[in-house]
Amino acid sequence: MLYREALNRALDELMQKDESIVTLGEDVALYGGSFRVTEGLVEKYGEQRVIDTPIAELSIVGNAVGMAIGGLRPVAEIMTGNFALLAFDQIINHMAKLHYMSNGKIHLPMVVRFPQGVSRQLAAQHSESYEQMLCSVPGLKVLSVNDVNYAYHALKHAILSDDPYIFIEHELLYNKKGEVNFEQELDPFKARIVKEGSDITIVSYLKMVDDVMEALPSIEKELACSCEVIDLCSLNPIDYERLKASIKKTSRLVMVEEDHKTGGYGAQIVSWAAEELFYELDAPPLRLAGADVPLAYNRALELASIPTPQSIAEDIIAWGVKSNV
Amino acid sequence: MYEIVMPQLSDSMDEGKLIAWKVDTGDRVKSGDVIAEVESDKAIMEVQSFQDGVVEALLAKEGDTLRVGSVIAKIATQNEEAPKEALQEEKKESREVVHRAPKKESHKAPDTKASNTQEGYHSSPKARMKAQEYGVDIERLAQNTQEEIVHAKDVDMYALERYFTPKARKLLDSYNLKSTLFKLDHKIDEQEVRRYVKEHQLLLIKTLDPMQKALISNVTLSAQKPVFHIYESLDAALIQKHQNRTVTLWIIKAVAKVMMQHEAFRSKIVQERVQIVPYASISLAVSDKKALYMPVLHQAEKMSADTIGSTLQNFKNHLQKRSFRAQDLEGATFGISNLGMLGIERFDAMINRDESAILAVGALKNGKIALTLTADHRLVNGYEAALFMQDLKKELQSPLNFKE
Repeated sequence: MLYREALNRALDELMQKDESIVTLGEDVALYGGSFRVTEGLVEKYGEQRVIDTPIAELSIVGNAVGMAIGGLRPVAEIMTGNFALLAFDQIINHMAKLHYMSNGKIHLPMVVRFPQGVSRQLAAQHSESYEQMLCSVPGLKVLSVNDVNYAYHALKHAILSDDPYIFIEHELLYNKKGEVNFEQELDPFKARIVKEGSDITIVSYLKMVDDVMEALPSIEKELACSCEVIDLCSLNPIDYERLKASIKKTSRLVMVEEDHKTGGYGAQIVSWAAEELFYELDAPPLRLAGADVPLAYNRALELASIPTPQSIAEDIIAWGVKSNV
Repeated sequence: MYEIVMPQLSDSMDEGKLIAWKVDTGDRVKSGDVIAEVESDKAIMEVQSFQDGVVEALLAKEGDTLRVGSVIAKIATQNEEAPKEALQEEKKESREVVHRAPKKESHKAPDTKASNTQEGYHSSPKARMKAQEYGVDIERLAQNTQEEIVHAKDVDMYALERYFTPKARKLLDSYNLKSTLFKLDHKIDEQEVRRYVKEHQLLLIKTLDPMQKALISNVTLSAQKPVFHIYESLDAALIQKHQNRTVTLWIIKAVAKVMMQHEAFRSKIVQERVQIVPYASISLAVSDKKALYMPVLHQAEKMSADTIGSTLQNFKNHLQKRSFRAQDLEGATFGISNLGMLGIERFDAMINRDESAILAVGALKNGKIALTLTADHRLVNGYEAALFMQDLKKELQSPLNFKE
């Protein structure tokens, strides 16, 4: 099953059971979604529940907030992370806060989904990541999806929860293949151990998890070590327990993210490790992130601006040699 | 810790010769006391201590030439004086300390004071934590290791070397035990680790090497073969008479000859067909406590007693060096195993690989040697086996077999 199919299946299954679930966004109905996540839904559930909206992100999320207050369970799709910026007033001032400001009287069972990150030559206005902004907004739960199985279960969980969720996907992952275990539900707030290991903990999320896995064979060979790779999955709240257990075991932390380094999300993980696990660390944490530049359209510059499997391997090996892994 | 370094006594001085120590390890020194005499390119000068303390280690011998800036002695200042026992030990170890190259600054500015904080190294938080846990002085460790950064691994190694005897370390390794299971305040010997192992009833787990794995699959296959045994007893009068050669040698010689008369013992099953080999190639069990091999005497029927003798000697050498090659162990259709020299009167052996039979040779007793033939019934029937044994006995009781 493909990543996008897993998301589609989760939506489809729940919409079939629960009429209060609706989905809205640009091109989600007739076109089936820009990345085909909502494909076939309008035919099954009609235009009342699968709603094509104008190109107006603020109104998409604003409408979703209204629907949620009114008792529906809306799933809003924003075409890409950069466009979500237009909706940030609704997301931050309303979606995240109304529950608290109404003293818990208002619930917002809603999900805002969007893909983000560096795809292929979409340039600076269509390539950015916004988890660092959204994770600094209390009241939002922020999930990131790398894994196909996680995509299915986490989206179901988010839709059925009474809390507002930001559900971050990645443009390059929609056609990723994977297995879904329909029998076994999972806790979307648990970090996923992609590979167990004993010498280095490599923490990542979204597409970078796959790039880390691609880099892994050469890292493990060069450093003659075994790495534990963790997909954070939930970016807020963070599964510190699992990270702690892993770092205690390996005593080394590498954080890999696609976003710009300054102010980037991984800083939270590294600073937490420095605060909480200082005496467990046998090497300075290594943080691999994108360059602090607007993404270039030029493919070579684009690739030079973000971690790639090759740069991840080189950087971790150089650091590992210095740290006597 | 306060260190005394080789001072730069003149602009042109790169190295200095240690003429004499004025103190010994364990001596108490006061600030201003003369520690040593050093010869520069121009003169002999005195080196003083600028702090109070106890001489913990002298890192050079009289007569040694040392680079400017290298540490020549260590003084434990008051609050860190090591207990006497540790001192003795440290003294031994520190003799082996490799002198670090002098730092650039110390070349420019001669410094007999030597700062009492050790610079030029870093240590990871975890390494410091461990050092504290083990009671290891991380500065001393930093000097001993040549690493720029002290990691947890270095502390582990240092603690292991400091607190465990080499034999104890080996035991820790083989039982996969952590050093922290022991109280790290004294030298821990093999006995103590053994006691721990006994108390906790730990299992010794060994991984199989490829040779052992091959042996296991070989004997497992062998155990599935349909075999039968023939028990015989040999009049060994002639063997006893010809003790210039070993029992094994005479038996090999006889078996080779008799094999040529019985093709069943030169046969093997290959892909549901029987192959008959035109030679008498015989495998012989040779082993020590740890390994068992069945090297092959190829075309033994053509070998003289001398050739067999030197081949057997070769086997011994290969066994010791574990240097058998694959082709040394292949190609036989008959095996011989002799446990007689260990006093075993009678036993039966397992057929090796795809061979047709194996002869188990027991000890010489009352002029007799017990022979047991184990044969693969798919290749050899009882009648043939009986004839083979008859002929073999005849051969071993005939003076012709013993002709050189």
